[in-house]
Amino acid sequence: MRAHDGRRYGRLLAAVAMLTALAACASARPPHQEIAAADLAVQNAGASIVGSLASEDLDTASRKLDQARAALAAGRHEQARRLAEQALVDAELAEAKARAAATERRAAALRNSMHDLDGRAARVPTGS
Amino acid sequence: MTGARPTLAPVRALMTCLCGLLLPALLTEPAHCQDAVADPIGRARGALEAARSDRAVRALAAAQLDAAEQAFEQALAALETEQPDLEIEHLAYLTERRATIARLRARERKAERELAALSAAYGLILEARLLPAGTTRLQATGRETPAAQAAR
Repeated sequence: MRAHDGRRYGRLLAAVAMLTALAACASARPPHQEIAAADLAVQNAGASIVGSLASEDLDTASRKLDQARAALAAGRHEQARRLAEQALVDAELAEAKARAAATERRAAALRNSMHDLDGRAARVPTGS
Repeated sequence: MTGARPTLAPVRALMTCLCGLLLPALLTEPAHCQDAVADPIGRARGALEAARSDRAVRALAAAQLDAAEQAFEQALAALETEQPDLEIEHLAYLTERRATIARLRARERKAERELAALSAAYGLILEARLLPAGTTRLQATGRETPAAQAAR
């Protein structure tokens, strides 16, 4: 009798575990928002870093975004969410890298211009 | 009865050897698995510490640094609640990238400040070079200073 109860209890536990697992799978919502945010970030980065050194990072972001869409289509929502979140951060990094490099280049160019101006001033004869 | 003892002795010895070999393997495997997860966390922690220790990052990219801190807290929480390795690695990856973004943002802000200072200095130099000696900018543009207007 006791063994029978034990088996029933075991089956009940197994059923609960299966239901919990199924509920967990079903509750992973489709990550539409994450994919939309990543898409926007990739587009923004693409617009601002044309021809820059950060294009490799942007390629990574684009590839992950494509993989996220494929995972979403296949119903692998958790994988799609992770890929979309990584695509977003990769795109943001690409943009940050490009912007930092561009601003540093502009500052360097202006510094050189000032240097040239000083050089020309030094060559101008004085006192005549 | 006594004849069985010599046949069992090698079996016992073999079993002891097997146990000796298997036990350390069984004991070390979980630690090895833990290292596999702890490594991304360690890298994330290192990236975050590097960003935190940079004064420019703290001053010029506080929001980005905060985002990196939050990602790291999530990664630690995932580790503590024994979430899947994939999730922990994912959050550690986000932390590393966000820490790098914070450092890049600080570099950009520094360059912006330098650019602003250089632009101002460049303007002053050009003004000094282009105007005849002893001529102020207001005189050159034909506008009087408020003081001159008041005197008249």
